Amino acid sequence: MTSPIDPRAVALLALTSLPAVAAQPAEDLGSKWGTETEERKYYRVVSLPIPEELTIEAGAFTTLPDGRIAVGTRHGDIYLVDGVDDPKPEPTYTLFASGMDEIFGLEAVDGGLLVTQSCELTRVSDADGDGRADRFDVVSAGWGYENYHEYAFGTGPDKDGNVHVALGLSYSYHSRALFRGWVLKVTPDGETIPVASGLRSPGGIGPDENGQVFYIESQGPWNSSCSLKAVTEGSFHGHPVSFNWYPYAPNLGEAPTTPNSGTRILTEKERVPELTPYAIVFPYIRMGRSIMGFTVDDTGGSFGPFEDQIFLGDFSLSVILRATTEQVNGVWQGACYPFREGLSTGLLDVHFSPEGKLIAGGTNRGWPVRGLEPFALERLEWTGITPFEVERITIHPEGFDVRFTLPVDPETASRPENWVMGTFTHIYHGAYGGPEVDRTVPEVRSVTVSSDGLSARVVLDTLKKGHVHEFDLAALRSAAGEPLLHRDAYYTVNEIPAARSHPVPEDPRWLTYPAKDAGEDAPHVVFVVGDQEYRSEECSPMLAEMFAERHGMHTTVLFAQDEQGRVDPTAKIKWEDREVVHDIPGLEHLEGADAVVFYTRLLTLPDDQLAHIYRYLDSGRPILAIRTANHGFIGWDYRVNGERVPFGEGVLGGSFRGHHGNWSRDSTRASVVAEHAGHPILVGVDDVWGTTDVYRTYPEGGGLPERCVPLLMGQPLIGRTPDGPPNEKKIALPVAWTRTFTGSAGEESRVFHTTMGSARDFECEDMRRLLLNATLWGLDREADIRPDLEVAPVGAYEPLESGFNYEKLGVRPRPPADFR
Amino acid sequence: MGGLRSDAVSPVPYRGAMKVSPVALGALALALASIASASTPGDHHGEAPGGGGVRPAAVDGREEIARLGCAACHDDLQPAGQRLAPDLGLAAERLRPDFLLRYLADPVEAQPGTRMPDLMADRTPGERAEVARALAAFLASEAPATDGAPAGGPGEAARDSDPKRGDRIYHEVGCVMCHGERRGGAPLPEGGRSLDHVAGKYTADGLAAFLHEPLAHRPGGLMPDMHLDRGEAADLAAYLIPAEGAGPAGEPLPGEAALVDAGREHFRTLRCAACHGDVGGVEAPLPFPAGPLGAGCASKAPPAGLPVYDLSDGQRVALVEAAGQLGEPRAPEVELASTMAALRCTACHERDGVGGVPAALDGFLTTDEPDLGEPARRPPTLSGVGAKLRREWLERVLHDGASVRPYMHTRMPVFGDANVADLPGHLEALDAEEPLVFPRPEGEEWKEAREAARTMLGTTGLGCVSCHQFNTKDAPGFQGVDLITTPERLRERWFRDFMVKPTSKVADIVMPESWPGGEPVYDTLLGADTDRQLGAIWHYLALGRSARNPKGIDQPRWDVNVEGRARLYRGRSRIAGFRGVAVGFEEGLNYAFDANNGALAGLWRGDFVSVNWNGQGAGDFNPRGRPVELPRDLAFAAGEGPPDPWPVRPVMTEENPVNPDPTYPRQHGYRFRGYHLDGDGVPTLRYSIGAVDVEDRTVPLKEGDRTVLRRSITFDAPGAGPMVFRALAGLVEVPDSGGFLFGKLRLTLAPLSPLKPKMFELRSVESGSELLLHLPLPAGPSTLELTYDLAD
Repeated sequence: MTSPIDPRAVALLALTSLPAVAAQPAEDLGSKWGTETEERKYYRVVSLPIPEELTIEAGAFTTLPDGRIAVGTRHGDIYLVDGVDDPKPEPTYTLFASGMDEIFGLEAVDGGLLVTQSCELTRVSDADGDGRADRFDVVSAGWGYENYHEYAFGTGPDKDGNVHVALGLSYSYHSRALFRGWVLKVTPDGETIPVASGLRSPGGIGPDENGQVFYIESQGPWNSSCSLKAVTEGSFHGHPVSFNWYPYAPNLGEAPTTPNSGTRILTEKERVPELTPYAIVFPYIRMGRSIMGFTVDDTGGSFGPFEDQIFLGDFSLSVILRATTEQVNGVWQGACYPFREGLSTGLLDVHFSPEGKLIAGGTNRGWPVRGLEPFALERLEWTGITPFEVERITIHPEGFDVRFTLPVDPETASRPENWVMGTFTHIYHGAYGGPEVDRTVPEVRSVTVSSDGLSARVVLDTLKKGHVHEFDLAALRSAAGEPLLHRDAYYTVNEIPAARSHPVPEDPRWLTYPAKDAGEDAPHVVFVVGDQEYRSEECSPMLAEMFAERHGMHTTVLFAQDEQGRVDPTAKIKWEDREVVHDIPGLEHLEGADAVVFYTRLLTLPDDQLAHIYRYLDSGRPILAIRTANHGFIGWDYRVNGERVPFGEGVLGGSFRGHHGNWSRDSTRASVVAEHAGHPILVGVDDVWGTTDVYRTYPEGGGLPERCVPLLMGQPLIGRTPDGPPNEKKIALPVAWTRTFTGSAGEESRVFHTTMGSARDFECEDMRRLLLNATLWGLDREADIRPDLEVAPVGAYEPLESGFNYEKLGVRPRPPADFR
Repeated sequence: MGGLRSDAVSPVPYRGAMKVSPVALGALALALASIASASTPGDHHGEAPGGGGVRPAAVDGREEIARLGCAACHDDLQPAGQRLAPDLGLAAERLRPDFLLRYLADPVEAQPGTRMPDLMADRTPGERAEVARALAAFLASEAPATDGAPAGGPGEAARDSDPKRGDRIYHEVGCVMCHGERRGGAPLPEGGRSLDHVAGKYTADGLAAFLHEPLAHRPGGLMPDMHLDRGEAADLAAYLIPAEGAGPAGEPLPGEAALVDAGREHFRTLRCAACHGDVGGVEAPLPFPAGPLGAGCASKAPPAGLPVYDLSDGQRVALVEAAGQLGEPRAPEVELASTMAALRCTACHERDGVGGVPAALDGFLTTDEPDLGEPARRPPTLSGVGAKLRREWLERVLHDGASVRPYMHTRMPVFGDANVADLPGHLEALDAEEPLVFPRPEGEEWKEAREAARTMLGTTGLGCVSCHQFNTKDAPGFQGVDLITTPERLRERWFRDFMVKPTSKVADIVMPESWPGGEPVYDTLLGADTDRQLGAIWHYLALGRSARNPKGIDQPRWDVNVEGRARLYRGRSRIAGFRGVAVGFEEGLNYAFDANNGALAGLWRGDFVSVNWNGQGAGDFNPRGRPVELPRDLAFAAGEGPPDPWPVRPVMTEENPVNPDPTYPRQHGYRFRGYHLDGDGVPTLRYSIGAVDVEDRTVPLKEGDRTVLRRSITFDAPGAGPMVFRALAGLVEVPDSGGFLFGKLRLTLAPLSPLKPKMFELRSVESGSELLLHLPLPAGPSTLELTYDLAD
């Protein structure tokens, strides 16, 4: 529970004289958002009636396997509720268990319910099957419980079965019993491990959509607003009064340095490395004042356009808020947004029903509350109409990316003066609450609206670390002319992502993808692209973006293009037109490349362009090549010791000699070469199938040349489906291998080549993984290769078919930007 | 909101004067003038506004266009809107098969006055019957798969329903205001509609399902949702369809696939979906330029092939006239009057002299609080309601069914969001008064104002809480509207004017004037300044939950009682510490166990416990009898010889408030494991002492004429070994009569205790003595049985 109440009043509340209501000072609740009339068009609040004879002060919810909702209450009861999703709800309530002590954590687990009550974590079950609980087994009581205000909030088990319990302070201001003000982790076998200190008055604890555990902290000493904080092992959450228990937490070592009072949280973080800054600050009153339970929208869209976001209930103001998180430089931060006001009671927890409605409940007892009902259960349901809202705000090195639920009017949104912004922070101190200080007004330098209108990139003159960045977007309009349902949003900046200093300037002739969260040493990978059959212009940007967004690489895609600067997959080759000379602008940037991926086919390049490639081959840096690259160039004249070295045979270790599988009829199933199964490039790669046929790269009866290590053997399959039968007449041939190559300067390069790799082939997850692993291997970063590296494309990836019938396939020259 | 605002509304300075909107008064007169005044015969649609007979009947042509669904075909009539026709997907499960067939064949004949037109005027009776059969088969195939009964199973409505309860509901919640009383006597209200046809139309289950969720079946909103729960809907259905009177409902509807397909095709070609919406994938056809109404459907003899409506001359005139005026937007007061008439708001509510409950039905307005006078039973006037209620509250009433008068038996229904969407805005605009803001005092003045408000509200002040609930707590006298809802619902100016002269806003109100003529009766507070006093009350009530109870309002007391099954209650307590467990028995014997330390902490006779669930109270419990308190230290020590001194629990003091021994009693081997309940709710507490598992169960037992508590402690030891049990500590006496005395408690070893202590040691300690039982535990289970006898 939160208690924005006077410390002197609380100190008097000994156990023998628990607080009478008369002890509460009267308090104002602040003004409303004034958005209820509009909000109800999109989200209806529907009462879930409670029979007159029952008192249900909900403190925690969970869904049972049979679809019923279990509600744990402040009175220590658990009711099983049926019918919460009915169109006109008239739920039935079955008392399952009673006599427990303030339930603020509830999760259905195998064979019962896991209940966090003030005194302990308990497994409650119905052994005799009569529908009423009869077994109450203690899982952990590993914390002290001896003083007033010592509430306990629990998560459900995470993927490893661990439960996190957040423990409020004694009398709200002290830590007089063991681990008050701490988060404990309880393992499945009941071992109780101290994890984090410095809590004040937690209001709820649980995972965000990434599985990261957060707890919500209340305004009070060392906390000038409510905030979400990320719980990690050893983290300290700002209130030093609980340092006295470090001797009982030997796993965490010495207590952190005691922070100074009266500074700023990021200033103190310099002195106190364990200090975890507020991930999301909820500006006091404007965005709640006693935020309690929260949950993640996992409804798959049934609750509207906010999937995977956090929804939080506020006790005092009877409102529901929304939040999004992201991790920058290893630190969690994010934004919060108003969502719905006008609920009937003080909210203690929120929970999604099986049909994707948000159940909210609680009581208005004990502290100031706006909602007038002494207790209530309600559900919020989406009307199916999408409100025009800020969907989420994320940070970039120079400002923010703001996404909308509906297209924004580019005219109003691209005017910087329509983005009214301010920043502030709080004093980090031991006094109760505190003002918003150090206000600044950043200059909005530019706003760029995406072509679909769904996002805007805002560039500011400066981002202030440690500040809440406020947005007032009253002037924005949707494409349909509507104002935002909620004009306000608040982003807490703890960290600023490093500037993505891409080594290649932006230019319409090529694509650059700056590395996300790049350090100084982010590698630069260049794709050299130009083929006429396999849609290299589609898969290369996808791979480049994935490398940049997910693996910290700066990437550049250089395209072969026509005189109008369009990528032209329909371009003729010299065999068809003797006059043809192809053009790949930007090859000079191979100079600074750390790796190059070639995906060319029969290009005739001017000598000065070829010279850049030759120089690269001399550099000893890695060479990766896909499919047609082994016959990538015509008019090639690269020499080592005066000898001409063809690109396919000489550099890559093989060239196209013919379609071994039936061209455009067979597909390829690639299997790992057992002898080299331990090769780093094959980590996590065991399921490669593609629509391309197998190339033959050496004469029948021959083999790969020396210094080649075969990784995958490709078996032609009849037909172009993954479950097609093997083409019995065809043996498997190597389709991916490595080798080393020594250039004219005597430098040795790592080489990887796969003869698979049409754009469609890269729809296969392990095909993408193969290329990522190969790139990391080429960069001598084998140590970073793991079987679960993220290889999902960053956006939708729906490449066109391979082939030369361009018109039918919809292939035509287009500017490079179209492939972004 | 945020500190960034440049356009915040600044409070309007309080001037204390009332300004009436000139628009409001003339609204209705104007409204009616613009509605065609053609008279209507006795059909059920197109009634005049008002059941009170105040105004002559008139036909609202635009509403007629919406109701008849003209815009389904006439695209130029779309500005009039279209009330959604019943959901036919639910028709087959709702209606009697015989009625459905008759109705589909000839709607006007089957139900005179229906809005449904005759779409087969040019067909023979035989053809009509054939089409009806096919349509019925199609509709039956589209009905939700519930075996023809509403959710919950077949015949649910009939099973527990009670026509007597239905009769009461019918005459109490407001049905009578539109459908007339059914006990004989009063005539049907003007424009009302008798329900005599209902028994021949609906099945009982179908009617119950309809009454439970009328808006799901008929989204047009003309039959509103009266907040009937399933049971009430079934009772009402049983009342309206008497078991004996309904007669056989005919054969079940046909279901042959070919017939269903034919029905689907009729559904499409007859354009049913245009009004009724998509059923079974037949999409609603688009409207088209359909020509003038007067020469078509609204003419006296519509050309062949057009739908034929059962229209009066008045309706025809009004329809044609309204159709010609659709280009002109109607004034808000006209729109409002039209909606209120259509939804029959005026059947219950009076507004500006129109409407209200007719005298003949007044007796059906009842209340639980008759002493609160007429406003406790009569739906409130809607004159000036837009100036009375905040916009958000109006919306909660109209959309969410919010209500603050639980004592009033007549219910305010909801009509469906779309059907009332414009009402709050119109009411707000038409009734607008200049806003008034009570300035909020600061600092000491605010403190003074709070105290003054609390005094005035209390029974020793103006006595407001004598007749009003406060913060959901009962008033000592009558349970009028909860005062705490005031700022949530009301506008400040209305509140001020009402308080100064209540009858100026609510005629017949039983409420004393405490500021007669604007002068305060209570002249010792806040400088006898009326506006300061009212402002203080306003801001005090705006505190909501944190407003202290005025004098006269008491905190409720929470008792946990034991009836039948034993009762276990966990919580913080003075007697058993924070991890306390209280166990009560119907026999009036109770005990408390300190689960933190593993000690029986106390026993008492009488009622079980009261708990603190007021304010922030976390449910801490207190015995309701006077307990014998036992030491709450660890009770068991495994091993040879008792530890000396016995490890007692750490005690925190004001000087040393932090637990000096935070791992007690864990470091002595004690762990609480939980408990399980038997079929009578009797708990067996489980804990362990080192490697020894303990099950500890206490039950009341008759011993001679005394009821005692028998405690059985079962040890399960991995190997034989000694265990010491510190059963008592303090002033322990050893009487000649046997056992040990500890205040009112006599502790004895049960005669048949399987496990016998090797020794009873009484060891002197500072506080008196400790009773130590030396137990020779065998390997495996062994049980010690003790009797705790508490003197009366």
